Amino acid sequence: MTTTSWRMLAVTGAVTAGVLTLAAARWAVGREQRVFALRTAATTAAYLSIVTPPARGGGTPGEYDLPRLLVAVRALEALSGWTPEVEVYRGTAPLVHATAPPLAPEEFERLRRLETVRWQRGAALAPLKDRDDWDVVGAVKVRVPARAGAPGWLTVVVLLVTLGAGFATVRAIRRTTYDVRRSLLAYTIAALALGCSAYWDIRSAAKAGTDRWLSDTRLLLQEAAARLPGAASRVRLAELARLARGAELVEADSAGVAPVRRTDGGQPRAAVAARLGPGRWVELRTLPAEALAGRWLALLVGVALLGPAATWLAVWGVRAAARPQRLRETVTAWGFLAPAVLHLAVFSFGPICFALYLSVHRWGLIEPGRPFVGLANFTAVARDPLVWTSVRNTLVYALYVPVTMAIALGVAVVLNRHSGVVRLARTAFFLPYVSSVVAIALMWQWMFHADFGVLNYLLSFVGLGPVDWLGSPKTALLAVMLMSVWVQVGYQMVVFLAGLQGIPQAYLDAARVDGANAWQRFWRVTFPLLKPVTLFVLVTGVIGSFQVFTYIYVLTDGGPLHATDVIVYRIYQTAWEFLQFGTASALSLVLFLILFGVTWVQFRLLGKRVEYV
Amino acid sequence: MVTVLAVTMIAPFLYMVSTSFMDEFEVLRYPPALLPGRPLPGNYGAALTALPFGRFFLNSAIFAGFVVAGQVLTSAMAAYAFARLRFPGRDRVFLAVLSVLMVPVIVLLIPRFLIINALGWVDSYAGLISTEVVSVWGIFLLRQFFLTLPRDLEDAARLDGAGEWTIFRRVVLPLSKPALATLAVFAFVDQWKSFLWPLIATRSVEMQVVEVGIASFHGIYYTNWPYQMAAAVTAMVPLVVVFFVAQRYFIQGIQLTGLK
Repeated sequence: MTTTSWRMLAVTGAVTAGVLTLAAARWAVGREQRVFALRTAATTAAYLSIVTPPARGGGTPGEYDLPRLLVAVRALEALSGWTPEVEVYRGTAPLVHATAPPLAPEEFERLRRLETVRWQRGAALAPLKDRDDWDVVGAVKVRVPARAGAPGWLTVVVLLVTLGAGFATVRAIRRTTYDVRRSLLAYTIAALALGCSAYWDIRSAAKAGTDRWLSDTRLLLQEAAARLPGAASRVRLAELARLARGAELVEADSAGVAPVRRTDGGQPRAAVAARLGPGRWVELRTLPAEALAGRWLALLVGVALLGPAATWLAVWGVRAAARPQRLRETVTAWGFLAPAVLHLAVFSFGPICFALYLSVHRWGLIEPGRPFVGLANFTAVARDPLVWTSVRNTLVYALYVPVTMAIALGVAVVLNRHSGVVRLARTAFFLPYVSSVVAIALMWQWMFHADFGVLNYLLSFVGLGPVDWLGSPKTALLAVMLMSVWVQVGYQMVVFLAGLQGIPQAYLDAARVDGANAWQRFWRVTFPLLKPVTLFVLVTGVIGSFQVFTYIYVLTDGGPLHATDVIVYRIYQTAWEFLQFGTASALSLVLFLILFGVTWVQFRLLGKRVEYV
Repeated sequence: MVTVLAVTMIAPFLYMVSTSFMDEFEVLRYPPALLPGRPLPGNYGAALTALPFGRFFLNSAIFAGFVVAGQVLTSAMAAYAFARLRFPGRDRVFLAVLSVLMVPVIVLLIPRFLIINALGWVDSYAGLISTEVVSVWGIFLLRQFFLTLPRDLEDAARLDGAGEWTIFRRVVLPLSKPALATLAVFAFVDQWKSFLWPLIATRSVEMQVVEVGIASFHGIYYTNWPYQMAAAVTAMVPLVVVFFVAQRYFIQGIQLTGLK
């Protein structure tokens, strides 16, 4: 393709992305308004069927008293603060505006058949049931203003800026100069802003919809309480609850009449207070629509970024056209990478993002509701005393790593001279490291046995009493650490030996000539030169020790009395025994942070580069 | 000193084997017996038929086999791209891949479980294997190895008109057999030893791997030490065999990279 056609592609991409973003936002805003209208239509129909008394003097059972229905409908318009554009039909005849066109007979038939709220020709239509809740005798229609769904002025401005940035970038694409990076970056940022701004429009529409429904329903509740026969203080909530389908209605104290947002037990809630009578208040609570608007953000940002993506493709295409060899190599390379990279995207990078998402949601395996809970999972983790116990135990357990390293390094230094012997015995040192973890745990459990264990038998020779290794909270963690030292020491020794072989003998000889004794030679020459290996063993060892699980699961189940409860065991229980995946994910991220900090400290303390002078 | 250490390392294993031949009540006495009065090889038969150990071994073999094959193949391909091919953003992509090593496995485990749960793969080989078939460590190891290979042979093949895939398959892979073997051996041992993922990714007894199997055996026969030791010894046999056969690859792995 020529440069011009690449540019055409970029321009088309930029314009399409802008138009699509706006269209998607408009559709979503319209959807939020439709949701509001449908809800209001259903609520109004329920209100009318509550407040209208039955027809006097027989007639069809369940028939409304028509004049009273007319009064109730007209009174809606007189309510101060009532916003929706409502039309009520008795049969197909309009009641509010007598001159309005009647409801089409086939629409009415459809309502009778389906008995559910539906969207028809730009208006929400709810069936009006008779008093017995048996037959559909009319309809309530709520219209959405025609201008609905227009983008906010900010979005329009951002759209213009984005298109400008896009065109500027396209102009900068040339065959010879490739420095479009900066304008491409500006364009990407503008596109991001466009996505966010369009999302904000949707969110505001959702919020406004919830607010309007709450305040309109509040008016209807108060009106219904006033119209129902009997004193307002005795109206039963169950009767009013039909108005508030899909929401909760509870007795409450007096409160402000404007809708408020809050979190109830981890669930976001929008609420408004309504006064039913003297001293009697109820609260109407519902899930705010904007809490569900989050899913639009990813979509809108994705669509908005199509423009920069097309431009990026064009930049790359123009470059590649100049060097076909390079293009072929790039395609080949990605072919080689594809299996690994796709897998990592699905099973590593995806899960990392998913873990972040989980940690701010309540997530069970069975319950369908998985609401956003903010930092509640993290505060739950921080307030759980068992978590603190497990963190302490993990930190104590990790101390086995430096202890093992001291032993392994000491032995390695002594053995360095006799490498022939070591090669023979290396198999023995390595065996624990390559053995089945559970088998080793079982083996040690048998040796730790309080009554018949061989360890207590050996201790008795030096006059120490029997120790209940795994049964006592005082020694259980120590026992697990002891076993871990045994498992790791041989492997670490082999690593240290490999490092020691890399130290030139000449340095040690020079030190000896200068009169340094063995102790000084070790601390002044060997140890500094071995630092990279030491750091490696320490960092990987500590990382491993923070994730210990199998030994604990097999040996102690975290007990006795949580004496060996470690972080990963806590995560395992939280997730797969208590099925609180959100909290478990939060705890795992805390572990990540702790580990990150600990590793960073180790690099700071030991990580200074050592040069062979 | 070497002898003392070697004995410390070996003795528990010998004691485990010895206990596995003892009578159930012979072990419950003090001072503990070091050798069985009368060896009971029947312990093995009894312990291994108490739970479907044959199935456990088959499951472990399938799990480890597929994962090793997958890791060697995907790591070699990715490592070849990182070591030999030039493309924009190569080093950044490599760093991004390596960054996965920083994340503790448990962080990934919860979302991975939820993903295979959503796919309906819990308690199946697909779920068990799919998450493990790519190893970042393997990519790193093989890339380092490929960088040490001389380019002459590849250039000669390229002059003869060979494509990258042919060069990879005919030139690079045959030259890298030791490195591939090292990766395969480490991957096999890692998977055979892995416990937490098989524990959560499987539910039924028929799908358990050996490690999870002997852990549940331990839960059932927790007072019968000879049986437990017999099961533990059996579980270790494949690893010990692999270790003795492939010992030089372990040492190579450590000496080549200073890693793992």
